[in-house]
Amino acid sequence: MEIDDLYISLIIRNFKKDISEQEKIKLFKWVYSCHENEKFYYHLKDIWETSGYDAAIANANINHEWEKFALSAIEEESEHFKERKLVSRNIKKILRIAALVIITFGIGFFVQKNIPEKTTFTSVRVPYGAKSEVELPDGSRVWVNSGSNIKYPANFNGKEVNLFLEGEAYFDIVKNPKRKLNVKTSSINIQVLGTRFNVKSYNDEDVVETTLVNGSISITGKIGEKLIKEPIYLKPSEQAVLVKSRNTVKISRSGQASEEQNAEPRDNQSINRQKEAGLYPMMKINERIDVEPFVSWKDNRLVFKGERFDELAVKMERWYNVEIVIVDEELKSARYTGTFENETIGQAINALSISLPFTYKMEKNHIEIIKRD
Amino acid sequence: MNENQGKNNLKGDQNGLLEHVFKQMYAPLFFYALKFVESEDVAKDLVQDAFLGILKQGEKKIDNLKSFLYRSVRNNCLNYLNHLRVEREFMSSEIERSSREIEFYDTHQTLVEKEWQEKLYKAIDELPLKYRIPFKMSRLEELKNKEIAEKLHLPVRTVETQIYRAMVILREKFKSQVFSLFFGSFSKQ
Repeated sequence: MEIDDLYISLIIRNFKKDISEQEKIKLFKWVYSCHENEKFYYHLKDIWETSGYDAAIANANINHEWEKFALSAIEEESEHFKERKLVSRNIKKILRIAALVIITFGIGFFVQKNIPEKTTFTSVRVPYGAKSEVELPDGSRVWVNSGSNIKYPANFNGKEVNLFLEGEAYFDIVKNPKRKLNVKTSSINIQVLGTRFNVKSYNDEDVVETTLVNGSISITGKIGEKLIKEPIYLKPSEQAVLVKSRNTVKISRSGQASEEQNAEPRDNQSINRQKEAGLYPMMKINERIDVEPFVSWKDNRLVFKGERFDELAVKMERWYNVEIVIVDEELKSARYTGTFENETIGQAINALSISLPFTYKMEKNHIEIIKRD
Repeated sequence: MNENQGKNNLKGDQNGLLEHVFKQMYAPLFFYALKFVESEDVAKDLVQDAFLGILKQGEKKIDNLKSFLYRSVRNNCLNYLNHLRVEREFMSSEIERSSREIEFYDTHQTLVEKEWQEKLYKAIDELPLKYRIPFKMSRLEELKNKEIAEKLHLPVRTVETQIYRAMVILREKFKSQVFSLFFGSFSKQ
């Protein structure tokens, strides 16, 4: 096939993405002018693209992609079993749902209980604006925060039990040295003995926080290709903060997370911890923190200490199931300290507007925060 | 108790098989999707959805897993483009072009599969020197045509023609070999 030099140049430059819109229009007019041209063009494009594929790049992510798939597969499977159960006409099986002890202090949630067998999982989803408390088969308890989803096996008989979390949950796990219990999120795995801790791992947030109240846990995990090779052990009142998008080699002390990031280590233990953290470039460990603001949500209190307004707004969005837009940049970085307990969203916003100069517009679930002159 | 075993042919105890298929098929499916959607993240999601489609089949038998996956990625790409078409009018010509290209591959070959990719690499290395050098510089070293022209002391137009000739030779090698991603029928959008 012989074609005009002009189109040769357009084809090559289109592949190199070095082409103007006008030229593109000209090129495709030619491409679509007859079937032969179109076929010829796609053949060349296929050769161009295939010769540039770097299988190594695709394969570098493959384990991560597989894990991601495995997580959603479990969810999918439990939904599939639920559907089958509905057509199975076996009322006894449906009655088992009632056997699941769930206490809620939120508005709504739904539970899927599966036929007990090897791969059976129960899935609890909690919508925005609600919270839920779940008792696990071994008596352990889990508080699930707004906009979160937890999956756990219907029986805890195995040597290893895996719970899957997306979003935020507080765990109070009964001690049982005979089995290994893991909490898995899309980025980290937490290995648990008997203990109380909080995990926040929302997919739409860059930060994954694991806060230990008491007992001990160890964390491993993976973000993209960055692997946490050896487990990180947390002590009570410590918090591991993983920044998914950033390489942070930072340790903060005494919970002054953002203020003291660059503080010099004052004792040997700190130096060791710092070295340890250096192995895991995206992990930051906050020592001796006040755990209260991180776990109070389970007692239906929204506690915040020196928190940026835009960060607080994200929490309030989930808490009240609203959308908050802060128009002014300066307002976003203002810091708040306080507690909400039984306040409505209107009362809460009103209270915030007393100490900062802003007004707001509220329409249905949409709140706009505007700076006051 | 084990009423479900054996029926869920790719699940349960055979999870190892699914993992194997996933790891074998992931890269070609990803490259296939990337032909039609610009963003790598979108391509990743569309491939993930295709694999989830296996589970959604439940106990329905999948005759040809490979063609099932390609078909799913194909339909997911089209759906995604349709979705974009609704959302962003100004991109529409680009979207039309991609949709048209997707449909082309319903009945035509592509080289995304590993074995073809390897044959293509081999064929590139067998190209005559005067085509091979500019082609590799352009494709593998990702130099601009102008940069290649400067390095080789040639006019830009000549470089473009040589790269083009390289691809025409490669096309001649592969165009007679017919291989289809889809065996059997698939749903038209």
